[in-house]
Amino acid sequence: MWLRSGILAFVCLFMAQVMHSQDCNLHVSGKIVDAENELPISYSVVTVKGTNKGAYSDSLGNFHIDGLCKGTFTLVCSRIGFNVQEKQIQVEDDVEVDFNLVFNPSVFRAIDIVGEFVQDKSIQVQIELKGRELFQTRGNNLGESLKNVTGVTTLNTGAGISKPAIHGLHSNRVLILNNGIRQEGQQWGNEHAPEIDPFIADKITVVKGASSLRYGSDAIAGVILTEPRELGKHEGLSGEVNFVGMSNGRQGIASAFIEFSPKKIKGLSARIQGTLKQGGNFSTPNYFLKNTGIKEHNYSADVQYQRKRFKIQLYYSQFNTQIGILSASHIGNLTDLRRAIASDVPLETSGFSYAIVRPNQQIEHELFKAKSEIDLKSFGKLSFVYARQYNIRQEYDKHKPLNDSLAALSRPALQLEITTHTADVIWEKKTKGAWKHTAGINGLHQANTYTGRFFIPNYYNNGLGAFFIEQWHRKKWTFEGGLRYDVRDLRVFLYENKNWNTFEHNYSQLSASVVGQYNLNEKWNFTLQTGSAWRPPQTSELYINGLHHGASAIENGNRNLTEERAYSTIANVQFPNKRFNLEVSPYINYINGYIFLAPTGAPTLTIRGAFPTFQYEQTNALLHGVDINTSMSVIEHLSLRWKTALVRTQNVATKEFLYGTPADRHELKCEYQFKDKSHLKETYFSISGMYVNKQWRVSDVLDYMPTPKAYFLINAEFTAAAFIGKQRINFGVSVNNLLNESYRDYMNRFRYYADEIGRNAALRINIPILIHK
Amino acid sequence: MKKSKSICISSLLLALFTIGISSCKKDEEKPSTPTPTVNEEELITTFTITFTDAAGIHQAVEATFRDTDGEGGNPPTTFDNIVLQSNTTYNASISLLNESVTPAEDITSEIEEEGDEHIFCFEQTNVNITITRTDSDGTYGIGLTSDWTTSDASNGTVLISLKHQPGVKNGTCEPGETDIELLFNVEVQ
Repeated sequence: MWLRSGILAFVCLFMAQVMHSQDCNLHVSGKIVDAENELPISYSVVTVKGTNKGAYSDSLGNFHIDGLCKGTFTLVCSRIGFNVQEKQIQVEDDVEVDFNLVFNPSVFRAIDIVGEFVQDKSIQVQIELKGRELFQTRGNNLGESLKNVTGVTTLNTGAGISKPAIHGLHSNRVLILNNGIRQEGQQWGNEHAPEIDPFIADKITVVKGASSLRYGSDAIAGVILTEPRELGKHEGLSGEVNFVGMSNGRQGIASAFIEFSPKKIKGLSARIQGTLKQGGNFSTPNYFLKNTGIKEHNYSADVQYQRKRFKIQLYYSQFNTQIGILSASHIGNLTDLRRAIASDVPLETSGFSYAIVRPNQQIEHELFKAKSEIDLKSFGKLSFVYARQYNIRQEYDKHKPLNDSLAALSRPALQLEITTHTADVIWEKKTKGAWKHTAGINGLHQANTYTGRFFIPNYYNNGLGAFFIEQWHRKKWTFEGGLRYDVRDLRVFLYENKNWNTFEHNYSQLSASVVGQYNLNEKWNFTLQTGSAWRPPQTSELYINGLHHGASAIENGNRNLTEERAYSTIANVQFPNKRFNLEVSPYINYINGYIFLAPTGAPTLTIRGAFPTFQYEQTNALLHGVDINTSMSVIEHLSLRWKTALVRTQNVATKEFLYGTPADRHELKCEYQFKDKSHLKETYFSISGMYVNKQWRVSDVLDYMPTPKAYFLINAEFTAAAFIGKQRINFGVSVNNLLNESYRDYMNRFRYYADEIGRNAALRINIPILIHK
Repeated sequence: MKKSKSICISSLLLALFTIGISSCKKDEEKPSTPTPTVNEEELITTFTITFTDAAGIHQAVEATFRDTDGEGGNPPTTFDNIVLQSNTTYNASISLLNESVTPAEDITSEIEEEGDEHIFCFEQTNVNITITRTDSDGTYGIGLTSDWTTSDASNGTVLISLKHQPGVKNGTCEPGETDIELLFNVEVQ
């Protein structure tokens, strides 16, 4: 009886809370334009006075705030370089409000204002790349685009292949989302870059720490989100055209998209996007890197139909690339490697060429996504997402088979195909003022096959996860916490000792996260985030067996590996101010069962000679460090920015350093903003110097050559917005490695064979298109 | 008007959905289906060098290196020593096989065909043997056949390597990639 009353009381309470918020699901949206020329102003802040609500406007000047109750409010709109504008509005139903901001150059701040409102996103420690900063990276691949985010470095295989690393961790420890879908390819490979075209994104976010419960359990170091511009925010025809030219490698990149919202069919909008890229051999200050060309062609299509309470979206994207692999890096054996290391210059050099010959990689990645959202008013919002990904990766070895008929087939030496289906059901609900509930279920089904040389076996991978996240806000405090439970089943089909054997691995684990944020006086902002994430061992870590040509080592899997579990804590102290801005993020990550390649001590004898042999092992690892980002305006229009990223790692069992930890880096940038003229606005010039220390925290046993020396690079950049009549054209010129320094980087696997690339000058042009119908 | 609009939209979306699903590329294989050819890559699993006395006095000598499953996996099953008689000239002949497939594939003829891209190298330590290549690709020697002239009794090693030098063959062992590198123990009795 008590139980029944208890349940009834609980249900009533729940219903009461759900019903009570009936009136607080109203929206305010609108557009922010320049009062003088009516051009949209991007990335302004609109807040609702006296509440915790607000939003940023997107690249088209549109903003959208929801969760408002009926009543009268004052909206405050502010932006660097413009006077603040306030508007009083009466909210009975959904409302549209536009702002016309008046230009005022003395409203100058070095840094954007940090919103004192609860944004429609998590409070986890994160950095966003958007607007001008994103424009400055256009033409680069995803890894290189994120290099300027403090705490992010790249793991390179030459200049053409970059994998983003958060606090030194990468591959299976960093979750990358492609338009909201977990990117599933062969991301375990050190030479496998993420197959995502950065041009599809309007905003790229790096979330740090092991706390992302929403997308999976395995974001041990963090999550990288690539988000396209929201559809349906603009009537008529709009779009963008981008051109990028780079001197090193003589790269040409063109990317454009067209968006269409027909006036006649209200709620329908569509976008078509495409990117073409071609580059030839890169060059170091002293020689060309033979066979390092790149070809890429990508396209995507997005269709959305939105009514008041219902939205359906279909998205398709394709990514195709062919990447030349440095000829000098494909070597026969250890003797060859030692000769390569002993030589100052790669053993194979060439002139410039666009031709891509063997060895090379060819990859294609397809994504199909279907999403529907239903607004259940007081019951919240329900989303259903289904996605299918197909990834095919072909590796063409340096030499064709000796047999002529086999050679004529021109097959890749190794081919991997992986198909992944994912399905998600997410429920979200914001209540009056304080709470935001999120819960969901994620499912995954994956099939992987190989053809040619054995590297990793065929397998089926299935996963199911359920999570809930609660966010609570009151005055200066915000809390976010959640739990997630995942079940995973891996079935492997392995051919060994002349038999086909099936192996099964099961995992089921919890993950958790708690984040607290305190806003002091609009001056200081403190965030403390702690969480526990886990990941199952990858098929490659369990079953790999054979010679890893690029590494000149025999690698053996370990079928006894268990899950890796990370306990991470990250703090963020932010002091955003007109003249001075500081952001410090110290972090610590303890990984139980950290999986890594350990030298076995005894070399393996093969027909090519002896190779050092490595075996996947598990240990406990401790990683800690700090990301520092600070800027200050020295005099009006001149600002200085300083960035530092330090990472320390340790194998707790042996007290040795972990292999592959990025070295300490520091950057100082000096930026000057010119006065806006009638046809040239937002004009910036900056010069920066970056110092990367020698990574001396290494264990000699794991490396063939000493780590590279420290290096210092100077970069310069100029960006501006030109106006031809009302048409805005963003353009920029950048020069990286201005002094054409010769250097090598510890995190580049090609450091055994060649230097990093020399001076690279780039020209970027971006033309936003706006045609009213 | 409204009804036909929603029908129009629904059919448009349905069409796109169908196109999307059907035009997607597919993997023809299933993971549970055994991959037809386990080792498509061409391996050299077996290296045999046969020495025949030019004068016909001493017995023929054979030395083999065999690692049937290629790099990694099981260790090599055979790695013989070379035992030669002193003060003798031997005609040496190398044969290469891929024994990971049945029937075993003869790689020697492939090397011969692409003689202008290959060279065998012989590096001796502590043994007094004069080794000269006796075959040719037209310009340079290949080394599938060679003459080994021994002098006094000694004990040492001979490093036999096969270098793949497409487009860069110049008669020396410098350029190219090493496909075979075997350190044989050699005893001259």
